[in-house]
Amino acid sequence: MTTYRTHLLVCSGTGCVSCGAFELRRTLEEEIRRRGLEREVLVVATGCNGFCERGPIVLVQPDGIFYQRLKPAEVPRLVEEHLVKGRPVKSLMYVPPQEREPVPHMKDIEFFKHQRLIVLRNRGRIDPEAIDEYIATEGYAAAAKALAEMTPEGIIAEIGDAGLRGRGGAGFPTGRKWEAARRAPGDARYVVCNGDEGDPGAFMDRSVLEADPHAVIEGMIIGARAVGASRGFLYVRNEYPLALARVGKALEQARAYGLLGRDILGTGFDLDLEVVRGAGAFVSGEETALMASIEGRRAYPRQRPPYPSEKGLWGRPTVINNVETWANVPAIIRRGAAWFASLGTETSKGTKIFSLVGKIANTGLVEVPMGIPLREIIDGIGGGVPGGRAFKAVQIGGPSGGCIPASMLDLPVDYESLKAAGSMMGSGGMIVLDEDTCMVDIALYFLRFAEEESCGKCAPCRVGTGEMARILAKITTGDGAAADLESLESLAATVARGSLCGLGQTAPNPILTTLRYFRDEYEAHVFDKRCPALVCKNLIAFAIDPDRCVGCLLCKKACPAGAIAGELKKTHAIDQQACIKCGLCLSVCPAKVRAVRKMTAPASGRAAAAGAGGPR
Amino acid sequence: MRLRINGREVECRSGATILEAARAAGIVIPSLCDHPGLEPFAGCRVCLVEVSGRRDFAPACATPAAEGQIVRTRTPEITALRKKILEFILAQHPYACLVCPEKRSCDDLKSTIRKTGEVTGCVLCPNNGGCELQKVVEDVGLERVDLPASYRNLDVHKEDPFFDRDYNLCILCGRCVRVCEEVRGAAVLSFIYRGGQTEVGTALGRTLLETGCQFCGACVDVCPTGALVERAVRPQSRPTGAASVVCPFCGQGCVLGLNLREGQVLDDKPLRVAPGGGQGCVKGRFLVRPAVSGPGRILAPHVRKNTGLEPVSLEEALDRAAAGLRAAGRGRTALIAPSQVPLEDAYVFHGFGRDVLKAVAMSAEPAGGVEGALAAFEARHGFALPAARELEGIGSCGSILAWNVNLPEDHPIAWLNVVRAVRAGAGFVAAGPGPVSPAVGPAVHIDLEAHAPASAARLAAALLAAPGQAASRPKGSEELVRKAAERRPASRKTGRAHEEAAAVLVAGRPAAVLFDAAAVTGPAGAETLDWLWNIAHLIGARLVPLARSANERGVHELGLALGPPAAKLGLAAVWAGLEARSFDALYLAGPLPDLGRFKPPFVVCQDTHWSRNAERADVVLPAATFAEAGGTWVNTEGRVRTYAPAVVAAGAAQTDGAILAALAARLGHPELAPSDRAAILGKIRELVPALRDYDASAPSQDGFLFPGRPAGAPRFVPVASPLPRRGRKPAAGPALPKEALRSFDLIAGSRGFARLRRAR
Repeated sequence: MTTYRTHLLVCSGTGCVSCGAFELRRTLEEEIRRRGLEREVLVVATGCNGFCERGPIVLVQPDGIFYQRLKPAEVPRLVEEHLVKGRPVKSLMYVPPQEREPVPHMKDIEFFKHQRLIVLRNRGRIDPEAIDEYIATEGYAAAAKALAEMTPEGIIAEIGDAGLRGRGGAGFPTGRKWEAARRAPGDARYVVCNGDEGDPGAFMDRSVLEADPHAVIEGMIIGARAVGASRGFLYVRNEYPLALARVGKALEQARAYGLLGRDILGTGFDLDLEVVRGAGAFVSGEETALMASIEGRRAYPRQRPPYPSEKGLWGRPTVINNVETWANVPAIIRRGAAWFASLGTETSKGTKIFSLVGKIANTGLVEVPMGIPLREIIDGIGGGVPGGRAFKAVQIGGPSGGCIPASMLDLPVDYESLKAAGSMMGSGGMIVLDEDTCMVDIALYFLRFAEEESCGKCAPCRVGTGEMARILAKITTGDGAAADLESLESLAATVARGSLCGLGQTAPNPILTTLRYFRDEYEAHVFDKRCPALVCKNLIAFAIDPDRCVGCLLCKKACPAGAIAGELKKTHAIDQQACIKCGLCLSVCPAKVRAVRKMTAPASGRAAAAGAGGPR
Repeated sequence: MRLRINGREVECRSGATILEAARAAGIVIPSLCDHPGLEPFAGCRVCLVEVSGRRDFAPACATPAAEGQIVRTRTPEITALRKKILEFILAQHPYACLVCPEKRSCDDLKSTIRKTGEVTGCVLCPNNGGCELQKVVEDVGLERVDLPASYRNLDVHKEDPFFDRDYNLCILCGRCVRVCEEVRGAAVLSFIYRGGQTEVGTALGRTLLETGCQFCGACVDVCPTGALVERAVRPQSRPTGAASVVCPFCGQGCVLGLNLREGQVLDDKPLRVAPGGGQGCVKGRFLVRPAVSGPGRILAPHVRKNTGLEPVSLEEALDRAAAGLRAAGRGRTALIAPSQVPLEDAYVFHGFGRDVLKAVAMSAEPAGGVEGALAAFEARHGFALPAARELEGIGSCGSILAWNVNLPEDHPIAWLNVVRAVRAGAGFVAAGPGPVSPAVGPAVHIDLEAHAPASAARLAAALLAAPGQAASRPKGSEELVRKAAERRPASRKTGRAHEEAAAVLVAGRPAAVLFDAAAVTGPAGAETLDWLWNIAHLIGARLVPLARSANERGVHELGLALGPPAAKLGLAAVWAGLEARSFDALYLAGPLPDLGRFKPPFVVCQDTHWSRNAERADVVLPAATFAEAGGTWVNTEGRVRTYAPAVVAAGAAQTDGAILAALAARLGHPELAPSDRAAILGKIRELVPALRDYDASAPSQDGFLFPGRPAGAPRFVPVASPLPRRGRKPAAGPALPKEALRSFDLIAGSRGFARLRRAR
């Protein structure tokens, strides 16, 4: 076996790939060959590091130097300086916001420093397309232990004692689910991995499947052994081509190694897994809809009970867990329930991956112990809100979740606390909102999402979400009335209580939490016809401060509506009737001039633009 | 099982849902998407109730009742929620009339205008008064809707025969989609799009004809609103009366509930009784009206005079008929009797032909059918074939062999039970023209060889060789093995179909073997039946012979009891006699191909509808249709039902029995039959042993089941039939329309039906 003095770990998650990671890798390899270093330096494509905002990322091992936002053009210099001369290139390193000095080592970067990796332990470390690398990092040891040394009851007890709960959103205890499926009568059983991640802003499942597909497969082998299944399915969104490719490859390799198929590891246990591509509907992530989809039917949810653990795929007991849940299983079996249970809080054990997006300095995926205060994630790991803006709220849990305001930043992140705050863990999407975000507008965004993604089966969700979106739209255009707030609350209650599945039951959450924590913003829209965040187009106006305008014509040229009058070196003015509130003038006005102002529209200006942003 | 609903102790069977338990106890829980016979859907959410031990509200339709459960259906909280949900449903349905404070007086004060392009309210809706939304709005007590109405403005689908689809009125309860897939096995309807755009539609927006829809009308019958409405009913007012009849269009004998308006048939629905249990087919659902009230009926007696056929009084027509028949030479009269008539009329026809006309040739085509083949089997082998003719049992079989039979078209209820079995996991083997259905295709298809019994023999051989079969081979099969082996030269054409079929049939027990007259009549029919019996005996399958035409079985049994008629010949033999000009007179009361130049000198035509032959006849006598005559019918299962005339006979039409009795009196036979139909049935009951216990005055819901013939000790039968000679085809007799009721040709009588059959 060849040994190399240096490994270049090129992050090859979807984020970095879309920033050119594959091209970067090719360039690196060529350059290394050109310099004759191919026997000394090895380039490895790894799974996602989570710090997607900084991609493409290259980690140099064993030095631990972290390079970010690398371009192929910079490769010769990097190779020359670092690999040949041994001088790490400072200008390619990460510089924390508001600082000047780069942080050379990955372990010192705030974003990575506070994380606790269980599920993502192999991220950025191994080549996800090489089963040997997974095995070399204790991979499939847990499966071997479970198959050879443990009884099914023992496995279930271990998972139950660990306190693992479903990472897909609802947080149902995994051990109890497995126990129910094991006990349910049936001639066949199935295990299913739910990889139909659809929440806007959430991508941890994709990342896990891309970075460590074998961890999920190993989890499923253990689960199948525990419940007595001999067939399983990985349901992965078709919008995740890289994840699909890597999972497919991983399954092939596992079969070739005898880790899937007949008589696994000589234990007499049979299991085969297959990939099913999701057909692009958000609701397919609902477990009963997902199973309908696997069966080849329209992805319509059905009433529970019976739960899938009693009557699932083709009416047989079925364990369906989320990607992240499955990926937790090998670690628990390998290191024991007590170790896992020592992490997290009383009721929420282990770690949780969050995708940190929105108005945050460090965008990316983070895995943190349960119970960590929200503040630590947002300010510590995330580096706070950039651009000197004020933090306003964080939207957790996607369309089913809710907005948590700044005043609650010390909230520990666990299932119960989030639920009490009106939000939910969901799949772990965290969208950070700053003061420039209108909460009514955010609620409208999520309601439109729910309306479009409603499957149409039950009346409350099909009609109610659209109705709520209609009223929200009315409020954002300044046409809201006092009664609309009551209607919203009543509609929300009806949809939440009346809907068939989780999609509808939780669809009103974005409204309910924003109404709970930001009612004043709704009232400002309704009563004062004012959008405090200056977002809702109908309620704002752009104007040019004659005292500051230098008459540079930039805004006039930029205006797509031809609404700006003015001549060179003379004060410009905006025709409010013609203005379409696109905000281009504001963004082109030079920073040192700042003559264009966004402000609350005078009552007369509103009428002219009424209807522009109204319901479809 | 006992539970408490609204404080009341309620008992129900185990496995029942809360909704079923409540319904059985007379407690109303409003619901829209639920429908008996369909899987719970839980989509409309109107039936939400409070159940002890559950945090959320539970849909009563999808929640099993449990011992000791406490259910509350009308708490203020639930009522309020239910109203809100109903508002959601109504927001996508024209609701103005539903919550109009004047709606009660509206019916009295406003004339109904239903011939409207767009339905924007109940008063314009063809389903006004029959709509379940109206009922649910009442039950829930909804008085206003706070949501704005959103009319979807979808194009109304009018491109298919029989019914329109106006999805502007659809509330997406999914009953049509589910009945089409779950019960009919057709799955031509589906939900399309999603969210607020969700609609019911077809794959790729094709027309129903293009999708392979059979137009059974099940979707129309389950639709709670006016979204699916029979086109012909659309401009009509509400029905004013109802009656029920046994459907005469095939051997299954579904009971149809007729809606009547001013003595005319408006439309009909299959009633929720055996054998269909509420399911029917295109013929029963959409062709009764044209058959009874449509054009083409013979309304008056006619007699040929110099200028042609002229309407005359019945007396004059009967006198003329009697004179003509009397003039015919001895032994030169033929009678074509209809097979699709009630027992009472069949009885009179029998006596009329034998004793009055002394006809030398009688045919009641297609009598003889499968019943004749079964009788011949008994005569051939000395024991009655142990047939299990009840249809519902097919549904619980583990595998099914359909031998040369078009189940969806010719035996729709048998087909539904096949669908039920296949959906429950049964294997399905079709030999010959296989049923085509998107949801239930044949698992294995056997192409029939030119000599069909050879295929059956091949299957028997494959069964004998099937793994696991050899050990449990019944006694006497050695001879069978030898026989079958003779017939087993490997065939490249049929491939391994027989072996695969054998595997399916051996795997799924019990098996059922379905066939009709097409397989077991004709030159090779006896041999096929012998093989089919051997196959059934070999695997312990139930043998299900299917009678193809209505009352075929009843008329056959009656014939056995009455003794042989003067001369009973098949249609082909009668036709040969006509060609040879052996008859002076023909009494034509059943279907016959156009006589053309073979018309005998004197023809009396007694029929319900005009035909070429009626137009050539010398005397035409108007007969009453099944709906006008009433009477006793026996279906393929042996289910006996008697019904009263549902509508008044059109014009001067009279029942066949009455016409024949009057004519017989003129021919010197006043004793032919009592004038009272009940008295005729009494005579029949005396004659037919199987009917002795039948009491028409106390009908049971599912009909009286004919006791089957006692089966002898079942054993393998020797198959004695010469190998087919090459190159000789049996002479084909004259062809009759395949789907006809006497002279009412279903295809000529219904444009929609013609389009449907052409599309196949």
